[in-house]
Amino acid sequence: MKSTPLRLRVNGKTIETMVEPNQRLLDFLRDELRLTGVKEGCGVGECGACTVIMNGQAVNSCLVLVGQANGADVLTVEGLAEDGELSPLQQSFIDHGAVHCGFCTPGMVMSAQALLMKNPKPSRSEIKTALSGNLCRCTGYQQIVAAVEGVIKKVGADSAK
Amino acid sequence: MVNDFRLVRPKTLPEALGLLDEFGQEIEPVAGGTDLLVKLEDGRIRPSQVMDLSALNELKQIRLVGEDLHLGALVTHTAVLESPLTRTEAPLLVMGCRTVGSTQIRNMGTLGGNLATASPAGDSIPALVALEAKVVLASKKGERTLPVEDFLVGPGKTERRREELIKEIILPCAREGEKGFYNKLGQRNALAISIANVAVWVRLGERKNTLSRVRIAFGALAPTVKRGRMVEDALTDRELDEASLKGITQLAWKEVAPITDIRASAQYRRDMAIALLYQSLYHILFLS
Amino acid sequence: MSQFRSVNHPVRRVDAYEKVTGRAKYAADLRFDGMVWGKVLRSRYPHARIRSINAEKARSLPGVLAVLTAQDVPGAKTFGIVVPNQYLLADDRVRYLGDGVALVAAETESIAQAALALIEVEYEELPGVFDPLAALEKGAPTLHAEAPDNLAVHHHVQKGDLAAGMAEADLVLEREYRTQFIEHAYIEPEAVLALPTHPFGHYLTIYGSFQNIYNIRRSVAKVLALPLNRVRLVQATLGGSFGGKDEVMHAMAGRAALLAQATGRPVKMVNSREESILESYKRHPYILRYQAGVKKDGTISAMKIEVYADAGAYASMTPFVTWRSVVQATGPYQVPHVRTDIYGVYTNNTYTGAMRGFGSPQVCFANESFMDEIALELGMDPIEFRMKNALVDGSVTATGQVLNRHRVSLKEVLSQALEAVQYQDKVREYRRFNETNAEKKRGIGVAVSYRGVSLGGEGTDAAGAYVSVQQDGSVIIHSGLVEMGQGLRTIYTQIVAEELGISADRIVFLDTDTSVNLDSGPTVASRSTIMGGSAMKDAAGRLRLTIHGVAADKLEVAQDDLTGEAGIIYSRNNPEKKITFEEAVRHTALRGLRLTELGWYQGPKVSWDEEHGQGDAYFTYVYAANVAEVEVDAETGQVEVLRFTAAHDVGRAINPENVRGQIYGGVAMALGYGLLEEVEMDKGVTRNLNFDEYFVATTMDVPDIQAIIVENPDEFGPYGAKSVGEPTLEIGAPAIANAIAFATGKRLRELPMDLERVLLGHSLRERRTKRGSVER
Repeated sequence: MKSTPLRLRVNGKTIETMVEPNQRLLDFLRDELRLTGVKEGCGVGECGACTVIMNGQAVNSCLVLVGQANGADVLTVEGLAEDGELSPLQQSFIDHGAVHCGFCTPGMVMSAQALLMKNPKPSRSEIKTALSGNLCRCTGYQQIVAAVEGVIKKVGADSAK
Repeated sequence: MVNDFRLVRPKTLPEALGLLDEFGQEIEPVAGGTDLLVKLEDGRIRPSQVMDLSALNELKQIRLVGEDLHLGALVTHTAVLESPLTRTEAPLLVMGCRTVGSTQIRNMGTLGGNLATASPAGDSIPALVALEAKVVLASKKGERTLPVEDFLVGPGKTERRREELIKEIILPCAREGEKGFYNKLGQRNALAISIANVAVWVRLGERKNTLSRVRIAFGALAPTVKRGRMVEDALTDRELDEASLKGITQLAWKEVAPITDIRASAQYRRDMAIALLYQSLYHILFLS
Repeated sequence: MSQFRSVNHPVRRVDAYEKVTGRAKYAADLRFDGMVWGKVLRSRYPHARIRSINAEKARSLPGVLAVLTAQDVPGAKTFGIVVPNQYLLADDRVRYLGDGVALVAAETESIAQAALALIEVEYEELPGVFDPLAALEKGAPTLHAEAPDNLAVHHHVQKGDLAAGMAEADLVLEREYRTQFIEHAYIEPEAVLALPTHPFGHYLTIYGSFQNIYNIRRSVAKVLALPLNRVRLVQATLGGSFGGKDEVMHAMAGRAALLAQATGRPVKMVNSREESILESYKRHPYILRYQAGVKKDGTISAMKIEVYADAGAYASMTPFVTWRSVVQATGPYQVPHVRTDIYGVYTNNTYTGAMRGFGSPQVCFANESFMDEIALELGMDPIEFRMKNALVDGSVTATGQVLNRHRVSLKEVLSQALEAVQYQDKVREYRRFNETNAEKKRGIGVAVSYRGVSLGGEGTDAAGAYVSVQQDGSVIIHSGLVEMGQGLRTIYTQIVAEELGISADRIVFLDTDTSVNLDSGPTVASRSTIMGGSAMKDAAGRLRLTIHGVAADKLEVAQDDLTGEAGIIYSRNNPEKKITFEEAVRHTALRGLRLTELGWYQGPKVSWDEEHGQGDAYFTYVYAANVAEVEVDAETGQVEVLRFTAAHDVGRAINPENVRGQIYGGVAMALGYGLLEEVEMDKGVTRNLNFDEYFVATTMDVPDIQAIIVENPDEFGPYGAKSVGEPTLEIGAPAIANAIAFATGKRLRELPMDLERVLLGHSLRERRTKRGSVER
């Protein structure tokens, strides 16, 4: 039963709707808003494929009841590119060969994005810590960590110009 | 598949306590949700009402009150890691919180939630026990305070009554001459449930290599997080070197009561109680 | 500077944009109007007879559209590529816990789930057998009528005179190794969406997370009693597979199709992670008994190997997996006298099948651990020992194959890896470190391998390609081999770009669809580059001839004087004579010439004599050397891999960044195989069903990996390319085991080398049923 009112911002747009209280944020994003870039890999917060940024923090959307997101500001992978223009982080993932099967990619990108929002110049070990809740079976993480390091260098170099 | 339930979202603590007073038996409070959502999902719990506490901003504060640090029940593990107050006043707790799950879990999971869940392997709890932290429980009728150690009764079992909420956690601020170490053993370096862990808090003695006070808490080594009082006594007010440390930490074997599960055998866990304790004390005494 | 324009360059992945923006559609992301949900009721016991199924209550639940059982299957009841003994739905017996017993279609997923609980199944529990050795004993419970001894397969290799070889030896050593059940752990759980023939068309369409679309189609057609041309499979973007989305998808696609036909509605099925781990097949656990005769000078004179593979409940790929094992069991060494026997055995455990490595990780773990053990016994340096026995150009393998058609680069890859890590310096450094440290111990370990490329004697090896140049000079390509993250679409795009002399961004790769693509066999055995890539080169090469022919006419130059680059076709002798690719294409089209080509490549001849256990097993081989450096906590058993170095001869790297990616990923998976991962089966019951207890390595567990690409172009590969997908994970575990033995002096012969095993040398947990016991 869609009995609970919900108001939140998703990717910059305000949404007001009624939801089922037992719905997870993950299901709401995927099924109601059709933001299928948010992936479900385990349903128990152990793989990070469903990672979105909620109020500036990376969270597993499978472990959030949609009602808990009332009033929240949620960012999904679909909200990163502007007018089809990739964010520097997304571009860096492509440039570094960090995308293989791609199923972990949206969650991985969001965890990295959340890190960069808090800490624009993280160390390699801080990057690894920030991404440690996101499992990837294809890449061995090396190109992913390189992609995050790459965007730091690139943004640093661009702003120095 | 999550069952149907009513979701209530109180905006203030009195409102939340009022709801609990009225519906306590059928209401399930949820803080960060990192544990509860898993239980809802696999049907281990099927509440008729879920009370989302995330709007109770009053429980998200970290405050200095006299010589004590007051941490609201909804303070997340990440908030503990990032707060300048906890970094200076509760470094041992910071160490424990750093090893919780993953970044996403630390961002949502709360201190109060971790206590209420009362997993024997909960990574923030041994630090709280070693720090002799107290938990404040609030209900419509009033508040009561009890030591975290007494609050924990068994795996998933606490002293919290259905009409009560964990309001805050109080722990004494770190002082000069005190040190702590948290040592976790898991099969992985992240996303790992503790196979065994130990939190050690000490006050250094006046003489070199002595400890005037010691508090030890073992995690994942008994039905609840457990103090190691025998070892504590044996370590107190005596000169310690590597050899005596090796000898005394063997006592840990008697303090713990681990089980065999999918992650490790009871015997291995017992050995780890000793190894982790030795490593922690060695670190405190000789490396820091 | 490379001689190539597109291949041999780190071209960006052609499918990365969709994936990094979240736009790529995986099977679970698809939806159709009127779509309903399908769910499977699985067995309650690992082995039981089904006495009755009563679905009345489930059927009467509002929102339930269909409840189906084995009797509703219109065609064959079973499927299977090698031995068709796996049931779409159990008829009168369940043989493992993941067996499907009934299906439900309902308006919502939660109604379907609720309906499952209302299906009443009466079981008669049967004694089960959960250990391959026990299953071979007389009187053991049996699973299949056609295998009264529970033997799924037996292969052997026989070379020389074993007894004579052993008699020549100064030292005979015998060891037993064991490996574990491994989950593929693709991050995307399985999903399908089936559209029924009516009202959607004359054929059935199934979208899904498919690895081997043609094999899956064959099973679906068979169980539904439809001809192949009325079953259309479309691959959704695949979120990882590693050999895993094959038979489990035969079942899922067949079941969804059955429900779709019964309800006349699109049916979607998505596995939860728990369902996925419960039902899907695993990598085989092996029991490996190795015996070697060695001379004092370090020459191996003979090897006798006996291997038992737990096939679980169904044959799946066991006959082929074990065949690769038997061929490669002695490792990349010259062994004059060999006898190897491998037995695939049915048990009531979850069935086992294809997984990246395909029978090699197990034998590599045993053999490469064994080589270090022998060297230690001989008092010889393990590197020297390997070098002494290594295969070289012209060597004869255990199966009697003379290696004379490719560069046997084992010594080269090993030398490069050792040089990169400064091996001898590290050995000295870690020895010193260990002398002065009691709590931490460091070690370095090496492992090497050779690996047959593509299918070899397993079967028909051919692949096709479609390349179509449009009138504006843009290009459409597609293939019957599939992208699953390994980078196939990018590799094929590069090959076509190279042949046509255009940039990769002019090429679009069409989705994979059985009704459109050329059946190219399965995307397995690290064969996509060498097989499908050759077919792409064939098709694009012929198009180049056509287009350049027209260009030569226009430019009035000899055709063989023309070359293409960056969209310009020009004369090598007189670069002023040039024409754009588009212009040349326009003229080609105006002349009515064909601008679409189908490419085909058939693998060179291989042979296998099953009776004598000899043959030219594969048409070419790749070689690899891995070096692991570890630190072991002597008090807890914790192993930290400090550094990992992997050198691989890939023939030619079509895309070096992609090759490195394969190496990094393979190494991470190998690290999990060695240290972390195990699906724990307790008398047929899977104990760890999700990622909280099945440990995939995280960012914080995988060390920095140094990937070394060695290139010895092969006559059979496109531009000399061979393969890289699977060799990358087959020797990580033994390299780590050897490094741990260096560090601690303890030899671990069982995987995974988790905390307890490393500390105690064995596990105190009750993990497997005892050898020789028959339970329940």
